Amino acid sequence: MFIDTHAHVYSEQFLGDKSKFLERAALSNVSTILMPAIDAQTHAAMLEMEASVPVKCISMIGLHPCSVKEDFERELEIIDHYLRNRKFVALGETGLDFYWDTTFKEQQYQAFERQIEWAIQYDLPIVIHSRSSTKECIDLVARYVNRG
Amino acid sequence: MFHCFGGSREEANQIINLGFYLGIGGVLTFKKSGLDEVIKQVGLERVVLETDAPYLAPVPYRGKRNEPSYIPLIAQKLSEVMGVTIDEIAEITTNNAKKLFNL
Repeated sequence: MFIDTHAHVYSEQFLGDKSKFLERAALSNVSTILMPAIDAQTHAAMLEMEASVPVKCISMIGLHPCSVKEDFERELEIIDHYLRNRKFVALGETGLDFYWDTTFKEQQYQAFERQIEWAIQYDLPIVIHSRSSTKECIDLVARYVNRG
Repeated sequence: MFHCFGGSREEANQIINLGFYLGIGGVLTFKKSGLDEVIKQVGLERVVLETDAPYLAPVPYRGKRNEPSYIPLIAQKLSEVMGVTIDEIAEITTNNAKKLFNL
């Protein structure tokens, strides 16, 4: 039995194929899929996937670093609201992405830190995207780990 | 966890020492990823499997849409790298995921 700990199965690339790809996953002995959130545009689609069979699909909640733009505070408010109202398996995906675009680098840091703080507050694991930023992500989480 | 980990041995060790896990996906099956050598050195104790679907499909589907049913291709490659059976890979990585995510 396998667990796929990271798959955006709610993405529109799966829309036409919804029941079939999950059946194939079950035949491949995948029992559970953990779904990392991206942003408010896809949270509803992700949550709908939780009703799927025959593979259990479980949601995380978070803001992907590539979705951190001018409106990131609004995105974080939406996450805050979800966290107050139901359980999630993890915070994520969050982190830093300096590969595609560094326009919102400072905002990416702010969003990441807020999500680390929520992970600590709700005692949840955190799922980190670290494209072209592995060192920076390690340095940031180390500050929190060392703080206890 | 550090999802889709693709860093150096030193970074892998730092991540593990901080108490985090490494998410290993299709990149492991790519030629010259170097990830096989890193995992060989750090071991499986903090490794979980992931596809990152619809992105980063493993060989032989590289460049196509990825999906969760390709997880055994990643597990197979990991079993070759580590010299253990695919059943052992399934057991170890599933237990790691259960522990990390309280499943």
